[in-house]
Amino acid sequence: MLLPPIVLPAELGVSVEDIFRPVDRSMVPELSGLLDYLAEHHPLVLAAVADVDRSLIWSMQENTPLANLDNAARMARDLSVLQEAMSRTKPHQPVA
Amino acid sequence: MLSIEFRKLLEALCKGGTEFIVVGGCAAVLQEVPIATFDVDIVHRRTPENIERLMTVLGELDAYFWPDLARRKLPPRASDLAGRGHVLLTTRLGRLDVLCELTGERGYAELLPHTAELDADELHLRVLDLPMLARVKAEAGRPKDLLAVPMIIAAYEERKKRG
Repeated sequence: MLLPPIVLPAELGVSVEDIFRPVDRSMVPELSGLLDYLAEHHPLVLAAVADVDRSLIWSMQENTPLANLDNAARMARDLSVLQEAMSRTKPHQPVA
Repeated sequence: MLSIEFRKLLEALCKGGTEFIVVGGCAAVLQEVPIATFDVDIVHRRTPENIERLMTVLGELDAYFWPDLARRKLPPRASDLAGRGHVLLTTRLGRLDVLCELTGERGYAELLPHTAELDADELHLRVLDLPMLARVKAEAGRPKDLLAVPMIIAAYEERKKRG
């Protein structure tokens, strides 16, 4: 299926190919054993590296490790609140 | 509602003098991997002295086994922490999985050479490095573990690119 393209103005200085790309084995030779293992046993997992939105990683690189930890805790708390609220909500009943 | 305080939980473990390695989702997040996580996972050194220190901290945190459907609030025993299994707990600061070993019979001693030290504020943490984290998750082979592997690989590559 043809996916709609991602629009990125040239002025941003970053391309879609920068954000979504497969792993460059030459950058991570220490992962070669793992990458070979994935290629043999879980090829879809290896292929999924190309689907990772690397701009999310760049955002995290702007923060300190503990700031990232605090953000993760906040996200978990928010999801927990949402989950609890949803568990109290009755499922939608279609009108007969 | 369940409390979720990753930083305070790790601080409590450090202040109690416990020797442990942060693994799992928190180890990933501390190393810039953009994933969601709901608990703190640690692998502890299984010496009697360290287990005693860990038991003290767990007592202070009111830790008990999770899930707790019968609401018995069973606290962990030292013998639980001396074995090879995964001890899944909840505390007043959130969920804490105390893992005696990871896949491949990897305990504290085996994982130690694959850790990074992280000093931040008053926290001094040992964190499982991204290559080993990706490896244990790939070897575990469960969908929830495999889901994180592409993001760990991409984050590690971006880290190396940044230098």
